[in-house]
Amino acid sequence: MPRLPAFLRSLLSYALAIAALAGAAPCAAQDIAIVIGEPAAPGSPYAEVAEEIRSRLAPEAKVSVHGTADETPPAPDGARLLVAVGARAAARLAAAPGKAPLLVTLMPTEAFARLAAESRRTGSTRPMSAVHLDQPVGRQLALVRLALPDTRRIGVLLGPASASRQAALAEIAAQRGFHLEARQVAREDDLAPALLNLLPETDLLLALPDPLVFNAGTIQMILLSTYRHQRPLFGFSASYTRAGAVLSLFSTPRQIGAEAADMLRVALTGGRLPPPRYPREFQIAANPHVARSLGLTLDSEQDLLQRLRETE
Amino acid sequence: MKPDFPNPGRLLSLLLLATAPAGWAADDIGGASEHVFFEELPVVLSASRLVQPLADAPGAVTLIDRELIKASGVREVVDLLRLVPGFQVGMSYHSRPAAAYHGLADEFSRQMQVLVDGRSMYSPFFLGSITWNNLRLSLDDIERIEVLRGSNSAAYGANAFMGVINIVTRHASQSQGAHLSTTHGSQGISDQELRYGGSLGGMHFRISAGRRSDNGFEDFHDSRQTRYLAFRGDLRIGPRDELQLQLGANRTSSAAGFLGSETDPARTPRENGHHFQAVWKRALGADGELSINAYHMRDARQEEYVARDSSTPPFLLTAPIDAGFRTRRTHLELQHIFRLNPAARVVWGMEHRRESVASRWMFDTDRTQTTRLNRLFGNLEWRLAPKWLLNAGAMLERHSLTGTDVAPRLMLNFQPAAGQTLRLGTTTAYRNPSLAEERAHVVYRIAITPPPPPPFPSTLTQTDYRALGGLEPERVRASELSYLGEFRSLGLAVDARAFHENVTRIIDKTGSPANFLNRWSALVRGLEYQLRWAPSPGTLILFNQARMRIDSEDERLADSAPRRSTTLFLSHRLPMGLQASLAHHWVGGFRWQGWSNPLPMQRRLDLRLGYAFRSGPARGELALVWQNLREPYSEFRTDYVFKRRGFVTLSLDF
Repeated sequence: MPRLPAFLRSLLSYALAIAALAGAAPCAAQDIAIVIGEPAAPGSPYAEVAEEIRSRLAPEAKVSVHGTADETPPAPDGARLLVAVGARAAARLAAAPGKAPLLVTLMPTEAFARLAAESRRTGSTRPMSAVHLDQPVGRQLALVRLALPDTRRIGVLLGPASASRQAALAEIAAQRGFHLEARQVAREDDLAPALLNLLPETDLLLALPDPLVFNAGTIQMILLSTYRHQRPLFGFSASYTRAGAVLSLFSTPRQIGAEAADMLRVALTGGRLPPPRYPREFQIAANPHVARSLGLTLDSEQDLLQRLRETE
Repeated sequence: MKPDFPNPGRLLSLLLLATAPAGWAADDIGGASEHVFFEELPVVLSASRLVQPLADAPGAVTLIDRELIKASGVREVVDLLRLVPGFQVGMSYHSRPAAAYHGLADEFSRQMQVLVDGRSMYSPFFLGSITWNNLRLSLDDIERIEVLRGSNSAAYGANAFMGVINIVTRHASQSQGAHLSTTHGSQGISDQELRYGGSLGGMHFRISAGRRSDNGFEDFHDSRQTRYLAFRGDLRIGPRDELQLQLGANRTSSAAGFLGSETDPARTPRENGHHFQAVWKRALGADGELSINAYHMRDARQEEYVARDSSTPPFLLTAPIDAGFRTRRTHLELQHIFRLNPAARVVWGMEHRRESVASRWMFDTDRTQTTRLNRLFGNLEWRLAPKWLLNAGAMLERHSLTGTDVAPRLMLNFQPAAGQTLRLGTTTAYRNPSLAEERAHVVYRIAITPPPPPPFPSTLTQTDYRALGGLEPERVRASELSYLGEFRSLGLAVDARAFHENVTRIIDKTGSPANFLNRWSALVRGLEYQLRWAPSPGTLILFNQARMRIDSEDERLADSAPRRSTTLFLSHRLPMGLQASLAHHWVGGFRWQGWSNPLPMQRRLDLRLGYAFRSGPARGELALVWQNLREPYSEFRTDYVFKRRGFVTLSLDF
């Protein structure tokens, strides 16, 4: 099949997404402007977040959707509230002049904390808040307790992007009756030795988003190693469960969009964005085949979801 | 020299060009962005990679993992079978390892199937045998060995007669970096291994090369030396597809004949072989998979010598013998795993295999003997109720020598409580006659010097084998009642198997010249159990025992397995990087088939002491192994005396 050059394809997907999402809405004074960070083909996580926000707020507010192609201005003019979908849009909007409050979505906690710090450092006065993309560790541990009650020792591999979390993680784990076993990895070459050193000391490996540690290139080695050591992997997206993680806990783009819409509604009526928070709604993906092969029995996803909600 | 060996470098670059992954690899802009959450990941633990839970398996399985392989201190795969209940292992003449499950076996280990990543190691040459010395792999490349105890033709076809040994090597991503190891010890033991694992484009690969040699038993001409080279590449072609490539080659020289013998003079034949294998797997959902396994292997032996007989002076009888051979096998297999409904899963597939043997000595012709095999197999794993699991399977096999056979299996697993499984089942399995059993025609042409006076001829022919063919496959109808108790909180697993194996049409040679006939039957009954207890992460205790009785009209078959054999294995991690392990075997008296005699009870004690250390970026281990610390005992034949052996291994990983 002949393929279009990459930039043409991305332009085309911007155009498609914006056309599909914003319809023919004029770009005049808006209540809310959503800026998408990446080429957002319909059905992509970016498009889903934007679509969910738009559909939930459309009756009460004017919502427009924009791309971040280089030729467009960094921030749409005149909107009362800005929403960034993804890290790239967040970085652009945080750096843009203006005072309209910014709600960041599809960004992990750590990355948002760095962005907010950077923004303050440069003297920006734009109020910022976020719907985190990752899950609170307390919630992850609560699910471990429910689904795999024999687990005592939680293993984590921390890369440069997550290394600073070690102390906080250990504290939360201890509060919940777990022991945290952590290994720091500075380079990809250190990953396999660190993992082999870690696995015998743990009952479960908790995957934390860090692109050096967990990516499509390393997941094979990680899953095969955990499997050989008969340790379950706990993932942070449905993709992990498909790959071979026993359990994954995550919020879908729609659930994140819904959370963002709730926060925006507060801002529209009260004038201020609520502080950053995690989505209240979440999803569980379980892989009963891998679990059974590891000699573990899992309750159904529905049942676990129900019980996990009750703990919150 | 292997002129037709595929050029791995060229092949690799072609593949990489053809399959360069586009658009699914991570591209991150520093720090954890949303990309790690939404990137599509490959299906790693696919249906065929998952070990079936022992509780759901249609039969008894002993798993040998890397830790156990290392702690056992063995130098070769076959010795690991000493740790499996019901197995007999012995080194026979000319350093040919013999292994059997439940007796009935000679030095050729032909009552079982051995697979390395799905490649059959069952040689089509001679009577059929497992080529233990030419597996073309290093012990350190093995991920695990699944020993399926009991007849398994329903899933693995004819020759999975009494059991299957499934050797699974490590995924290349699991053996990255460099590995060096060297072993030296008594009896000329000298082994070297070298491995490098890396990645190229999207492919993880490893290359292992090694050499293994020893002098065998004292006072016998049975030294051996094997050199091997093995390549494995694992290539992801997107989230659902993966391709595995393997290449391997070996060159072996092992002793044959006997010192001082004229008719069977001492000599050192050479064997060489190679294989090429490609396995493509596509994950279908969480629990389905489509795979294609294709491989080609060749093995050859060069062995020419002159047999003499000077026992009738002044005449000297001489016969030039070319005992060399060439074998080839091409195998193509398709397998499909899918879930029929939430309670039922199906594995089905097809195989086609072509095998050929050329041996002037065995068939008295230069013509290549060829057989073809087609198979259709299926297994339904059906959870009838939460506590009941049924495995129903069959293999339909059409063999160009023996026609069509069906090997069915039915196994019902009852799981009354978590960790408790009772199995009851029955199966029929076959062993196909080998080409030699069907067509052997061994003729020696003997020259007499000086020529005797007329009317005596100056040349003679002597026919040792004249197979008339028309054999039926050996057949076993086996039933078992077994129990598996997994007590996870205690780290304890108990597996007990009561078996009733009715073996008929056993092939044996008779007459002069020898012909092969379906002559015997044997009834093997008994009980075996294994206890595996890991009370703490650094400690492992194995205790195995097998008791069996063989009833047969042939006395040698009746004596072909020990009435009782027991193994105790202990391994414990000590402080300061030390690890100690011990294996103690007690094997009752029995007699191998073939060129052997009755063996008295064997007792053997092996000890291993390992010291793990770290030096800069390298991790290493120094290990001392003593085999048979106590009194000498006999293996295979009473004159093959196994005395104490010791060796030291230094290995480094970096």
